[in-house]
Amino acid sequence: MKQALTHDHYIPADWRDFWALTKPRVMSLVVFTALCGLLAAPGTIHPVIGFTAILCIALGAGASGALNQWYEADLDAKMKRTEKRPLPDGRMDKQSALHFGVGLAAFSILIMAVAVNYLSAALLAFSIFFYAVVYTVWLKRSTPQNIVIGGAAGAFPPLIGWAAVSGDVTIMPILLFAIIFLWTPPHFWALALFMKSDYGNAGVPMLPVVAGRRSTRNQIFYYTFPMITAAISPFLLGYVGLLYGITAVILNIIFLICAGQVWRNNSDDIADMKAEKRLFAVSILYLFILFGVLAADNMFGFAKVSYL
Amino acid sequence: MSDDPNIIKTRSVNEKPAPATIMDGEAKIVGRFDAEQSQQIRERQKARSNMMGMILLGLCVLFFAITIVKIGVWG
Repeated sequence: MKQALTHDHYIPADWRDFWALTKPRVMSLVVFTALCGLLAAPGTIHPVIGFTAILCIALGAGASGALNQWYEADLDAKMKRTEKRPLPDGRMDKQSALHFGVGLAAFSILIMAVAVNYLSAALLAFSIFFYAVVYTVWLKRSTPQNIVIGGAAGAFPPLIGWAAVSGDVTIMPILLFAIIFLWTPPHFWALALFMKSDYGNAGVPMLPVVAGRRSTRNQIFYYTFPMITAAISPFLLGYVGLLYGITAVILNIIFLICAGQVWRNNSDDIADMKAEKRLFAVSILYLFILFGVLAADNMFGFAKVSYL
Repeated sequence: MSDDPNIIKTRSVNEKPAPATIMDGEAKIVGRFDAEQSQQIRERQKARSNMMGMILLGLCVLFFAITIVKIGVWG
């Protein structure tokens, strides 16, 4: 039951609602890719400082999620997927969400700067700004390319993890950034294909809503090729070993097959969108396995040979 | 002031809250919140306080560990 949250009838939000505000499932992927970036970086980091870096990245991601939900409460209320979130469901007032998001962001950046290094703190601050302002406020409601540019926000964690260890940003972390950046459009557009009506009802100009499903399927297929190039580049350039190289080739073949199945599908009926649902599920596994193998390859010290 | 049980009675800032009472098996609203709401508020405040306490304790341990690492005792 939705409560009228006025000052006269104010029931304080449960701590679980604050937890939900941080988008824990998204945070798990952020933590994982950040950890892989941290483990793949050259050099060593004290476990306590490494833990602090990952904690700050997680808190930063949580802050971004909270600020996103604060700004998008009206949109979330219109979509089935998001209508049960704390703000649209009336379990929390907007001001609490805003204070929580800003406080968490400031805290995570401050601790990152004091305990880890200034570069990783600056990158963390920029990633929060990018997600909360550039993506949420500026892009999401104004362009069907929202996911393409906004994908950069989710691509920062391995870069920050790398910077936490090495204190610099070289070609390898930029490639890690590129992998997630180019992976985001096929991943989200696959979701948007079978959630089209949800986004349409909310007035979010996602590509399937604005350009149609055919165009979206083409875009998914086209974006797969630069993503594959970015994913295999670390191996070809000799930054990683054979374990990563073989796994990346297998994973990218599977991804390409799934993207090809989506490309061939012409159905507008959600019941016939098994290919889209499969691609969405495979894309999550793809990123988890690729980054997991990246960290394992570096930890087990596989020989690195440049093929270019 | 009306005695109609359907009307929520409010109080001024300086007025002491009237105790919650149960009439005919249902909570009668006597202050800003009924008994059920007051109970819910207390439970949430307690849960939030417990959670905040655990977070602060965790942060104390973390800051202590960071300090020890930074001054090089375990470095």
